[in-house]
Amino acid sequence: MFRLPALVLLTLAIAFGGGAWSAARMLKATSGFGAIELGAWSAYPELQTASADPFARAHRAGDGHILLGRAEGLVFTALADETGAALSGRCAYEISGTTPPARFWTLRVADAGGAPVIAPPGFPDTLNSWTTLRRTDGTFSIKVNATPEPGNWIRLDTAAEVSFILTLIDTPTAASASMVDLDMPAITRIGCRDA
Amino acid sequence: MRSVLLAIAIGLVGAAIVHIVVILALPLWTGKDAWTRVRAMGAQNRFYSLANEPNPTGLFNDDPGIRTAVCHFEISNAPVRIIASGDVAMWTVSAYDTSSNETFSMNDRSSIGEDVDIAFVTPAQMLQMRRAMPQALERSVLVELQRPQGYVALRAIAPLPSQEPAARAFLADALCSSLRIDPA
Repeated sequence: MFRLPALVLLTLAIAFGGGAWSAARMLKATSGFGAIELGAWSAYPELQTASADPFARAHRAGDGHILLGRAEGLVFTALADETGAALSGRCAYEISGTTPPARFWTLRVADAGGAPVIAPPGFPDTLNSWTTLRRTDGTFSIKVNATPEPGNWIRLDTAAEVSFILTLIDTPTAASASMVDLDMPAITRIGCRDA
Repeated sequence: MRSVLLAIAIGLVGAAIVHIVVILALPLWTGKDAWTRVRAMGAQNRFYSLANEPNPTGLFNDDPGIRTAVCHFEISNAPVRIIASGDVAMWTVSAYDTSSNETFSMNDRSSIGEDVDIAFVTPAQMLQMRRAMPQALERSVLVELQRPQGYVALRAIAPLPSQEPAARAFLADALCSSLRIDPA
């Protein structure tokens, strides 16, 4: 007698439950397609455009950031070091090498979700292409550490996992197809303190 | 038994449809997308400079050296003109439609002169201007937008702390005003 209503209920439960669960899972698992990966760094050159895929759009609408346009620049994010280990706020890192051509760049520390990690007043939490000291060949070496270092230093002292964010302003990188040839700075772990 | 399998099969097809609908409809319903946040800043046709610290508006400068001001506009009745000038190291500007798709972007290297001077017009207004170009817009960059609503983000870059007052002033004095054009 209750066979048909039970079957209809089963169908609806699978449809709505399964659909909602898979959508939530998929959004958590991916932040969209079309990422370019250069070593530890990744960027989404199409994220702010109409050709972004539906998953990227869903993320874009959920984050609610004012993204950089194509002529403005491109944002690279690193969540892991060169060996693939997640970046920890309790470790010290060296970021060295060169950036792709750009008129201006900034490097800053964010948490794993992308929100800025702000250092106490008086401590540097960001460096840019004007304030970074270079070697004679144009390369740089930036120490990211809890204790002050000579040369380029960004303070990093949190318990959580972090990410490094490199923002390139006015870069031909955003429009170029051959992203694979670009030089990105390498992220090397120097050491970690005990938790 | 057959009918249970059939119910599961129909349920899975339904789940696929729900999955697609949820992903596609999500951007309309998050309530915290950039367009909603920009509109919540205040009235249209004026620039709002963003704070450097996280705050209840949800919009702030991620990078202390890259300061942003946003303005939302509606051009179905009259074009909107963006003007800014000042002594900043670099500036960039980009415009987005209501679903935050980029419609236009440029920086100071691609502009005529040093100042920001951009007019956003509808295709109909563009036709009208081709017939009789208003004197005020002769040196402006004219951008035709397919959708009448949108927002524009103007960024001033201050690499050094000493340049921050100039960047702040650049954004505070930026205009995003509606422009009356005389019907020719």
